[in-house]
Amino acid sequence: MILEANDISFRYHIGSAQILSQFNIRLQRDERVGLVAPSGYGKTTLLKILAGYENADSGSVLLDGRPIQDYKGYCPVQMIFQHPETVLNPRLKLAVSLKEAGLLPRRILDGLGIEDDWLTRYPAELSGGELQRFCIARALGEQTVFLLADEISTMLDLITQAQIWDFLLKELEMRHIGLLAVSHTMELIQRLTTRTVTLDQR
Amino acid sequence: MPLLKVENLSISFRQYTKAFQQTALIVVRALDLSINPGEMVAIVGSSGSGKSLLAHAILGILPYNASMAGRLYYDDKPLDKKRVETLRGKEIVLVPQGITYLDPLMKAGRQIHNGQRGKAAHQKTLSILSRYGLDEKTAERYPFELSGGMARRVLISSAVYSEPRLVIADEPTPGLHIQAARRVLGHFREMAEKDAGVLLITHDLELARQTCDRIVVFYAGYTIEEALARDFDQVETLRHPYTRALWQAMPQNRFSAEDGRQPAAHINPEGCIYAPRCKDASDLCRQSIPYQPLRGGYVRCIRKEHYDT
Repeated sequence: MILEANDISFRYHIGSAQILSQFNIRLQRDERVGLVAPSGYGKTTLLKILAGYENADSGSVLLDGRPIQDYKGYCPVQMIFQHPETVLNPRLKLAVSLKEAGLLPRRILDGLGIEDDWLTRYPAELSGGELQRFCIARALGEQTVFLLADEISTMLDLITQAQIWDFLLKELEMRHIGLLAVSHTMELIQRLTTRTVTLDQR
Repeated sequence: MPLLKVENLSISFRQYTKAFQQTALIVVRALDLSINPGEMVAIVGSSGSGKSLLAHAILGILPYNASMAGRLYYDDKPLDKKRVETLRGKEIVLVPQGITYLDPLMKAGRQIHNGQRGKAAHQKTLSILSRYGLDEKTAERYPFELSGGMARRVLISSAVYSEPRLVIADEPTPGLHIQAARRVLGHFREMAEKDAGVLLITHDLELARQTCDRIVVFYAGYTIEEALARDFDQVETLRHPYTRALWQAMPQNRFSAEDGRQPAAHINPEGCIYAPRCKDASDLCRQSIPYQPLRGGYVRCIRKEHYDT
């Protein structure tokens, strides 16, 4: 299965900055790709378009040859955001948010170090690092084929970062999930990915 | 003579466990720290270890349900609530952690020069912006029109506007690409060269190592090691098993994941806070562990071999 963006262009408003113009990227299922660019160059925007959260002004995003918008229900391209506190419903207990991914095997919760008593809490009662584990679990539903990781470990300390990536890389390999990872830390990108793409237009 | 001296600082929160039962949750314990003029000191620790609270304690802006004990000195004189109120925003400034600290209804330029009028203020604002790689249009933008990295540089610009003597920067670099992060830290270094003191609070050990003079490592509310930045060049010169595990976990070193996690704040084991995760813990570690000088730094560990290497 291939995820591809063909000639996509994007800006948030008419008259505002052109964030992406005629950008192309192609990912295979068995690849792990790093995306590198300075801040403000549209890395997060690109990931949102690939995951179907935003529509490009022109060009197309295809998964297995079909437009990403045509996939209904749980999207096979899952994005994990940089700030977990902004993508969890503050009024839902975490167990409820987690159900959005369907039934998750115990392996995932254990591998991410999610403790049972966190499930009955609200997002405001956990730290950013703890919340991020839920966001990662939620993106690992059964249908997931590609994972887009937008600086998902910047808020974690080094040991937790190593723990989480150690689990995630094994999980991705086992399930043949493709990865597109954004990080400002080149050493981390080198550890995680098989090739890098630079977003240098603006 | 240190610019800032923190002695035996502890911070606790009042918490209601049941309807009318209050308990004190101690989040920072027995913290000692000093910053000399011209020096950059980093406090490195994981999230939830109490780093940000230290910054807020120094500036006297702890939340209402927090209380602190211990002594703070600035310029060799006690730094009490009254004195810090006259100094903060001028001599002592905070670069806050969240970009939500920007006023969403005020243009970036005005937040930098703090409402000062006139050509000089405007010129100074633009020159600071350009130092951080932002153009003059940025001054006319509202926070929602800025990217995360740009908003962060606006926060830093507003802190340096008053030419402070003590800068406390609370995670100023996440979301910045590495060149921008180094540039920001480079500007802090310039301020240090003009004799300001800089306290950098971060979990980015690599950045701290590259830019600061000394590094203080925080774990579950305790300072467990104080090291020179160059002690992080190899693992052998580090003094505490947790610091060594941190070093091993760096992507450029072994990227290895030690098991376990930092204990929650309400759990307070007798003796060493790191003992539950430490491979070399013994019965001796159950006693209270002093913070002792060792090879030009400090360590909170009683393991003999660490003193010897």
